[in-house]
Amino acid sequence: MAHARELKWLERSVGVLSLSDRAIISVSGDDAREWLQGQLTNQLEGVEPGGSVYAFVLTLKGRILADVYALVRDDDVWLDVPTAQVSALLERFDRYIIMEDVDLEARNDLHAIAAQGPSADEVAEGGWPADRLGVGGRQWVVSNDQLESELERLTARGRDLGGGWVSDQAWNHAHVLRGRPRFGVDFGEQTYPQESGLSPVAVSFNKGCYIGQETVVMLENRGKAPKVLWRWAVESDEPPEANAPITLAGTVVGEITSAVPGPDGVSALGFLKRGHQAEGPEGFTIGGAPAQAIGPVEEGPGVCSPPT
Amino acid sequence: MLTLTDRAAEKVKEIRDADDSLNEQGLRVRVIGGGCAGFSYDLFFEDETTEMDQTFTSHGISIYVDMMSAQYVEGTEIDYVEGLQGAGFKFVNPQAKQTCGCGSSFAT
Repeated sequence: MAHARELKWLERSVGVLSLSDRAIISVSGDDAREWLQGQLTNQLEGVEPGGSVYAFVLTLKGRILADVYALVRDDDVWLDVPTAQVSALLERFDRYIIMEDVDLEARNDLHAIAAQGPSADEVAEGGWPADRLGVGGRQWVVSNDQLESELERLTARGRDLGGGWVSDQAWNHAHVLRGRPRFGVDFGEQTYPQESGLSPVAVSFNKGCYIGQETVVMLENRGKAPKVLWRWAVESDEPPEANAPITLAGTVVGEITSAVPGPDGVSALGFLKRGHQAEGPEGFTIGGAPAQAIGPVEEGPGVCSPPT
Repeated sequence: MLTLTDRAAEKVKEIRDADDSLNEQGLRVRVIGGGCAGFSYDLFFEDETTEMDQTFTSHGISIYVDMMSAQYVEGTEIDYVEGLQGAGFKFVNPQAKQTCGCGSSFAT
């Protein structure tokens, strides 16, 4: 299997990589923490410097504008966000700063490095907890001119712990195998939190108001998501393309969002439309090949419970 | 222009009269980013104003609004409502295109 060694590191020891598709926005000012609490889906209150929170930023209609790791510091908060969403986030955030003392800045001079795996916390001091695969994780933010040397230093430490450097390709691969969907790949601006399967780690249902909350709470308590991300096993040698239809008895019941070769055939993530969850794991077809519904992402290994 | 209904003005005076430290203070109305619908109201007693403030008077009570917040609450009437599920000040804002269920948050 491709990337077998790197995938093993991520599962059993630690893999280190530069997060090339993430960017940093700093949120500072006397009102930064309180204001941010009203913007994020997860509980930021009570998080000490050195702590972090995974959350979504939602549109008014409750769809996901971005996923965010809020990295809490002594005097400000750094938001680790998808690079492609920086402009949209700055525009959206700016709209909701009225008289609050809040300053936003895209920190193009900074870069995130992640260590993921059971030994991630042993790689280096400092940084913030950030588990992106359900295996344990930590991340650091360094200046661009230090990126190469820091990546080298952290990777060397990872090697001492039985791991090593992980390529972007292996990183993408690991997300599908672990069943951890990614913003911009498996879900995006048309997705509700509950559809992503990540609400157990990204949404607090008792934190109080935040933008988009009403839709999220209504979906949770009074309705069902129109579709939900599931994990799939496909009996094929070739991964299906993104958007490949998932069919059941000739009817399209969903679509693939990402797929990779796995240890036994193909592993995939894909949306299953509401109403088909209870039809059993067998009988599905993806890209013309028989497929099995493994289970919802929300219940899978890639989504672990947040620390209490 | 912001106004208070009779009931709201009565309640404000009742709260103010019960606390000597609030003597003659006015009401500060502020809009803050957040809440389910995007913007939330903030209401508290205030005895200091700045050059950024607009001042209105309703039922003898001064109402202070900063210039940034003013654009979101122009024409708002502040009412006071009581019900089995609670009591509180309610903002009737003609600029709000959408409000959240509890009414404390709005979108324009």
